Amino acid sequence: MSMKVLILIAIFLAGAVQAVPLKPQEALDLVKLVDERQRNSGDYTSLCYVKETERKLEPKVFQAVVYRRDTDDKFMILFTKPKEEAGKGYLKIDKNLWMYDPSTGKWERRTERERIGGTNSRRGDFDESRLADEYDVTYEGEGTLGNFKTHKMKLVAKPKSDVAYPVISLWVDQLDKNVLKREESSLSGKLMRTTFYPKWTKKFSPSKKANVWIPEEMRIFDEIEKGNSTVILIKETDLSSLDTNIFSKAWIESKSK
Amino acid sequence: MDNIQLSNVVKEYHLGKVTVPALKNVSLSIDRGEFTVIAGPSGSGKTTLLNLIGCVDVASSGDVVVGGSNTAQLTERELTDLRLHKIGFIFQSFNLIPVLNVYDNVEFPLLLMKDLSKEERRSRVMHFIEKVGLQDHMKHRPNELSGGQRQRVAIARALVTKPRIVLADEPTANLDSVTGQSIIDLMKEINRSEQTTFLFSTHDDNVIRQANRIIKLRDGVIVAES
Amino acid sequence: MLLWKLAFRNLFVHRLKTLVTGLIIVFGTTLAIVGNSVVDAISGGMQKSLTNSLTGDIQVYAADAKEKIAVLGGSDGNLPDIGYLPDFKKVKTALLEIPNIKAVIPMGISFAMLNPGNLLDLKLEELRASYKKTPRDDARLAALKEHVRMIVRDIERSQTENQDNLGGVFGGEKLFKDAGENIAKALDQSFWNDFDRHSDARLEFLANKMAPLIFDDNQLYLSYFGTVPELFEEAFPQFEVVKGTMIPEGGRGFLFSDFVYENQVKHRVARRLDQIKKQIDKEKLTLKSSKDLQDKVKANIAQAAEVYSQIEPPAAATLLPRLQQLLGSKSSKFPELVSEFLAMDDTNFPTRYTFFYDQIAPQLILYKVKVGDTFAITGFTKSGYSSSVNMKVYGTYRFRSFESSPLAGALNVMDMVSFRKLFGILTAERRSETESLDAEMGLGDVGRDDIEAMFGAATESTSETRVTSNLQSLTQGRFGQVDSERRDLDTKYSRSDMEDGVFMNASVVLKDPSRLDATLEEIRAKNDEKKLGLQAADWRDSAGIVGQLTVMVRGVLYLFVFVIFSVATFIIMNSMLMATLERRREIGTMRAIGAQRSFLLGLFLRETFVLSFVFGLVGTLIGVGIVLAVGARGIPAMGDVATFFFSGDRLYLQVNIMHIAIVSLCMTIVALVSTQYPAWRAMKISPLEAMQSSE
Repeated sequence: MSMKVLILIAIFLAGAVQAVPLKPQEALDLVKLVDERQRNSGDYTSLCYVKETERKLEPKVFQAVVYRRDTDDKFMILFTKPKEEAGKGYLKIDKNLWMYDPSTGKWERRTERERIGGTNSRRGDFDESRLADEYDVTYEGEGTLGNFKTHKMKLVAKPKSDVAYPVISLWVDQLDKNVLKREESSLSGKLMRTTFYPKWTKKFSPSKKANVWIPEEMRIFDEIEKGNSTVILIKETDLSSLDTNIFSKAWIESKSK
Repeated sequence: MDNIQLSNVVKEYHLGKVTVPALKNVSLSIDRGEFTVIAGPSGSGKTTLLNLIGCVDVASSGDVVVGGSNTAQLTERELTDLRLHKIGFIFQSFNLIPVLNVYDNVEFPLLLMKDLSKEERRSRVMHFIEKVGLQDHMKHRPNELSGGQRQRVAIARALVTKPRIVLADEPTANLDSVTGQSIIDLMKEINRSEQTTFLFSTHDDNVIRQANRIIKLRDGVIVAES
Repeated sequence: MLLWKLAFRNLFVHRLKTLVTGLIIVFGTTLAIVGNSVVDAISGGMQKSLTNSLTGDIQVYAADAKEKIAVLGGSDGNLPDIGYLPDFKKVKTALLEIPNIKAVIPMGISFAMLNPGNLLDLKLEELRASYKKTPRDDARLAALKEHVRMIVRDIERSQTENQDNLGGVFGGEKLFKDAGENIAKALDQSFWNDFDRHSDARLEFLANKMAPLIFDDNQLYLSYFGTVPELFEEAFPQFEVVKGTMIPEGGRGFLFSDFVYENQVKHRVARRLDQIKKQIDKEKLTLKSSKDLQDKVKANIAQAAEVYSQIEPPAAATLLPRLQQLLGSKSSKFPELVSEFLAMDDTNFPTRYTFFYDQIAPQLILYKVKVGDTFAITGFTKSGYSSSVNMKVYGTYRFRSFESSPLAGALNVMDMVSFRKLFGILTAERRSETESLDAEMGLGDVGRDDIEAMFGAATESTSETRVTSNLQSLTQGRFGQVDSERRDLDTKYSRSDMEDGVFMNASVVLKDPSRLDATLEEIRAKNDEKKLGLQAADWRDSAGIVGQLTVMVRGVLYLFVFVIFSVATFIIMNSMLMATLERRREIGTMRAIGAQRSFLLGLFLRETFVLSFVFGLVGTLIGVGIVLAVGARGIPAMGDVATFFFSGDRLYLQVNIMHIAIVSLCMTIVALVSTQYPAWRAMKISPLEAMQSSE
């Protein structure tokens, strides 16, 4: 995987100056690249803030720590602030998404459509990017976003994929290959949310021996209930290894007393 | 006063574009107490003449004076009133009201008149029922009577208002000769006793022979009198 | 007199025609009277049901509500978005100044979801909890493990049985591709031999690879209203607690509607058995004659697994011989015996029903959530955001006299404090935490329209992110509060705590309901005066589509009666017309003899009048008779919905003089109208007609 991708990266970077419309295979490859850049071969820990603003109600802010082990398909969120939410957690094992609430002491099954912490964010926003695996890619041409030239692509979920949004339009920066904007729709094509990625960070991963790109800021706008928006801030990231058995119900439970 | 007077009466019927003259220039006068027959074949205008005299129809032109009044100058209401008080009708097919019995049928015109007391009505109705000899059938309905009995009821009804004129259109046409004769006898008797003018149409020779005066009508014109 | 005599005679002579027309009039009149009486009663019943249980006499809610209030759901069946008002106390104090208002009770309606998890999930949780307990209860552990094993065997069975179905839909998914292999692994002896040593891993395996294979949608959607429970109990005298106890004063808690408890929360097989029993006892149906009951039995048999799989193996072992004896069967397969047991007919039903509750039910999860349990409920705001709260179920309730109705009976009761939590209203403490977190984030708010402006400069910052906190240390130790909710459940809130604050809508109960319109105006005046920001609607408007139902029913009734009366008019007119034509000679004769036109008109009018009057009277008497006879005994409510509309088991009818008067008036109009044209035609008949010779 890495060799081919490295070559692709080289080619793209080389031809980065000239903005050229892509061929289908190139579009797919671009999406694969998007995935690849965000993937880490080792563990991943990040400190996130999520701010949820619902029209006519007061905003809610959470602080949480996100854990990932991409090689094993493991994923976990642990809420740390505010007091009311502290100790709550999400744990994903295979396709099972579990949620823990220390105040009730119970684990409950959730789905991909789960609103994380009751916000408009989904598991997929925090977890590794697997667009190329889960979607079929169609190139839709060039576009612009602010001062940036973009490639626009349409992604339709493959029949067996279980995803929050079956139809996605993606705007990728032609120069830096970062995703800048995503429009997420239901199967019928109804636009549900629009997500913007105004800031990206990269961090060197010792296990991957390459950089990992992290969306520092995500701004999600609800297209159904206009006026509702969510901001995800990934404040800092740690790519060092974690305990082997950290991804378990027991571990999350141990965070509460 | 002359009871009935016709002057240059013309009656035409319009059937679509065709005009059919029923009476062409008829003039006659009939006095009180006459027992007159209007004879002629069917289609000669007998019925029409009676209708005009009976204020049931209006002439196309000419004057029809009945009981001193020119019918052309009377309103519908006045004509109806005239019919009620001064004229009595005897129809060819009796024309009794089927839902009423003999007594009620005879009483009917009196109830329309409204100005008689109950006792007066009763006495009059009884008088005429007895006159026509139907006192035993007072409660019977027309469909329970024979043709002759029905006609007698009709006569009683026609007479009960004590009209000046009685018009009868082919009164014996639906009766056998014996019954018919008795009807004529009855009418003659009343004519004598009450001085009621009788004017009836017929084409029955037997009946014609018994009239005092015969007016022959043919094709809407009087052809003879005797 | 003559005219009357003629009129009567004419009608009598044409008896058949008179009778036919008369019957139509009788039918129409009877229908009008009985129908109106029924609709009145239903309308009254519904009013009573609504005002005594949900809407009160008047509803008040936010004046800037996006949609109109509909307590029982709007025309699309959903709950409308009526926003909320910030201060209940203020509104209540202001409204209580109006003399006719007896009580103001907050009653926001919302819906929530709870997911108790499937059987395997539950058992695995129990097993996990058992492992954590000290000292260990080995017997219990063994029993639970055995039960889990049994459930896995059942999964294996249903996988092979439904191979084709599953293959189609989920064949591609990894879970199902590997299912066979995983099941084999889970049933293998080696899996169980060292279960205790690797309990966490084993449990995780079972929870993540086995449990999802069970297709059991156990989710419950609950509609509830948030109120101050004791205020509610006081204001609505029909309210009574059925099981358990009332929510303690000042406490947080939940009451199931008994209807919901017995129909949605209860084990499906048990529920069906209850329904069968009810229909046999109450409505005298038999299993043999009723397809509906037979279908229920069939459904039970089809879901026999829900019975035998819930029973732990030791208990099953005890039940086995008892079932064998009851059924007279030699089979030693527990599942088979259960299936056979559930195949009930009229002869064995009573014994088996008793056996079920005596022997089987105690071993089942009879209710997904039991009275006395605490469960986590997830509420939704209109835009779909969710929040969770713990609720303790204190008991079940119902409204006397229409307890079996799904309409009013489907709402569960929740205290105001929990309601607000679910609604997403922040406490002061939370608010200040939010503010400091916001500061930590250090980001500004950017609106939808301005976002693209952010894409001016480069999006990539290649610097290392700032380290403001030691990430690893942040998650060391324990910071969650276990069972905090549970403890909070024991907190007592003062009446002021309950009342102060946000509420969605409130029911206003009047001392004198007949002065409703006047009071509505007074509320509006008070609202303007004190700037309460609310709008008011009477019980019918606020009930939603159900409230309009009686209006519609009455409309339909009127339409029906109108049609019948029109038909009657038409038929009378027709028959009069025909009579006119038939009696040409007679009429002509009368005219010839000297009857004025007005005489004829009078005759026709009298004929029609007699017809309408006599038969109208008969119809009215029959109608009144039916109302009195049926009305006193009452119409029994067929089914649950009818109970709501009848506000009880029976519908009692009453005679209303107004209706009789109106119906009579209508009959008179029918008489007059239907006479006009025929009379006009009759009057035109000239005396000449008399001169026609008979045919």
